[in-house]
Amino acid sequence: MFLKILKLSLRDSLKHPLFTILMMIGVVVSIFSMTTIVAIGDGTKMEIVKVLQGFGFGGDVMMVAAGGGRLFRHRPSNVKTLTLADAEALRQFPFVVDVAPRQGIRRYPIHYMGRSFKTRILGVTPSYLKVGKYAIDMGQALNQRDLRDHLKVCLLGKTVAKELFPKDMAAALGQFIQIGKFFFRVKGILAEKGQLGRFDMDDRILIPLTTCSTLFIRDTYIHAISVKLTDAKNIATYQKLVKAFLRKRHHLLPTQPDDFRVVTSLDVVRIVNQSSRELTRLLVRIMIISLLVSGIIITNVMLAAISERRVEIGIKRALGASRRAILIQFLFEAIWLSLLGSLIGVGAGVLVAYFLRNMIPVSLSLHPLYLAVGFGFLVGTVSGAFPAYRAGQVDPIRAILGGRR
Amino acid sequence: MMPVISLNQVEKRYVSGSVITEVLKGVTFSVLPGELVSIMGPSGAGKSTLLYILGCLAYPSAGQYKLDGVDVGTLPDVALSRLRNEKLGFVFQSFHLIPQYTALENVLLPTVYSKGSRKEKKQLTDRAKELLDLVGLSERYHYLPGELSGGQRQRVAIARALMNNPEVILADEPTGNLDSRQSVEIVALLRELNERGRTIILVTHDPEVGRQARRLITIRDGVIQSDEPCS
Ligand SMILES: Nc1ncnc2c1ncn2[C@@H]1O[C@H](COP(=O)(O)OP(=O)(O)OP(=O)(O)O)[C@@H](O)[C@H]1O
Ligand SMILES: [Mg+2]
Repeated sequence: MFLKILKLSLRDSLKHPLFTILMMIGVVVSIFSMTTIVAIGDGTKMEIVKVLQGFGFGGDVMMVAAGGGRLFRHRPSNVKTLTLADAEALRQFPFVVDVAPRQGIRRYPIHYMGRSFKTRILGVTPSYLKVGKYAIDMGQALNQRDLRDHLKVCLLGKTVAKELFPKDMAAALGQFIQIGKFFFRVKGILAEKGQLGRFDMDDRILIPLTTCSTLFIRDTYIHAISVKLTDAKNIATYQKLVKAFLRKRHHLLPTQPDDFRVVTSLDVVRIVNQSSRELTRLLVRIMIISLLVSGIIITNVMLAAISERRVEIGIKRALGASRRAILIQFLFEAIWLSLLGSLIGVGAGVLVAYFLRNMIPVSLSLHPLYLAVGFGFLVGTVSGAFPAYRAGQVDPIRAILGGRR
Repeated sequence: MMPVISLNQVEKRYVSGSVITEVLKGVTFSVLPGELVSIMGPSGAGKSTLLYILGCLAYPSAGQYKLDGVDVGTLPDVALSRLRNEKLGFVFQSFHLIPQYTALENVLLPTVYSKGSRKEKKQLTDRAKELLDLVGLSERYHYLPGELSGGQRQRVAIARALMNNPEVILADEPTGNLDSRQSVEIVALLRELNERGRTIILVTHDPEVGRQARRLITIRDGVIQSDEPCS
């Protein structure tokens, strides 16, 4: 009999399509938005990890950046705290294999034969190529002579090379391109590092650090130092040592904050985890709200449906339905509609995430499905319970005699 | 022969706040299997109230009601519902078919609440079709109630009442919403069912209809005024 009632409830809800749709709407929207948020959130997290690794943030690299404060905040590039001497001094640590100081300018205009482009200019030393794992595809790398003589030579990232020399990249070698007002000889072309989400590792030009200092930054203060370490294991200790060392070199009093940041892969992992925790918290909040909203929708639509279907309930009671049978039918109706709504929501969310996958990072997994099934069941049960109880309590005689009572 | 229905000093009152409405004030009678009884009386006399107590949709406030030997007043809702499902068939004034169901689906509805699995579905469908044939609707299995005339709808309702092969059919003004020609047909159908042995109790306002029964109970102000065989 139980099965027959379940079947009847399926059939009956199909015969009241308007109520059915109204009941499902809240759940569909909730689950849909949740699915897309999860997909985009997970995708972004994966992307962040990928991008940071792409920076050369292996476990055995740490970065010292100019200026204090929060780790990953953009700040003006005119912070004057870090020097080339700081970088060289770090070499005295036995765990430091190499140091790569740099200066950088974001989106600087470059020109060649009427073509213009904006790219990132990095003033670097030969060490930078090693520490950052850059390979030379064509031509030559920077060397100490370029640095010593402040030569106007440059290495082009693949994106820049393609932009300025669309027909034949190899033709770039030996040509003079204009960076701002100055002409630079193209000394080499970097091997492709690849696209990391929206961050293009090949959209850059490397020039000697000294040249960058005199022509563009007009100062010798550097922006960051990548430090290659002997091992990744003791990185936390190394970080402490480097911090203490730099504070001493910068003559900071104990009350003064750091005027530099030491970032390690551990910090990266921590930040990513923290942001994903924040996302989870947001998600939980959204879930609770949508749980409430869709629950309230279901309860109200169901109450309306039940008062609309009072006569039907009365008839069924007369034909042998117990209060319990009526209750079960309506409760089951709420549960299965809410489940169906959840599944539709997941489907739509996954579909949207799928179509967005080329525009923004998304991650498609089965998690939203489990979430949706649980959510659908919970919302259906909780919000259907009261209306179902009310349906069971409908007085069959009043319902049957209708307007006459 | 044991009566299928027996009432002993049945009372029914409705209490709403401080207002107490005494509807039935001690009704005693019994009905033997195979009888065709009509209940008549002025509006508000308590006819419907009596019928729905007979139909196990309401408990008597006092007195005893035995259906097929079982004292109904002491049964819980589930058991009472089973009695309705197995022993009783209802026919209403306004037909009360479920408008979204076809004629066949309406006739099959009582089986949802019966014991037994869906395995006999084919058998049940065959029986429902036979009943529709019996009430003269062999061409209308898949019509919705909205596509049927009043008389046809009441035929579907009668087929539905017969579906679980009940002991008693209870009809509350079954001809109340029908024109005279359709009324005659419905009453003829009920008489025919009675001739085949079905116990029928019908409430009516229409003396023409009332006179078709073999026994006429008149109630007034909640008490039986007369209970006599019809000519
Ligand atoms: N739930 C209720 N609460 C209060 N009073 C009620 C209730 N149900 C019925 N009554 C009253 O009981 C009396 C009898 O009602 P009932 O429907 O049984 O009469 P009836 O004989 O069927 O009348 P009619 O011929 O008009 O159908 C009426 O006065 C009615 O107002
Ligand atoms: Mg009445």
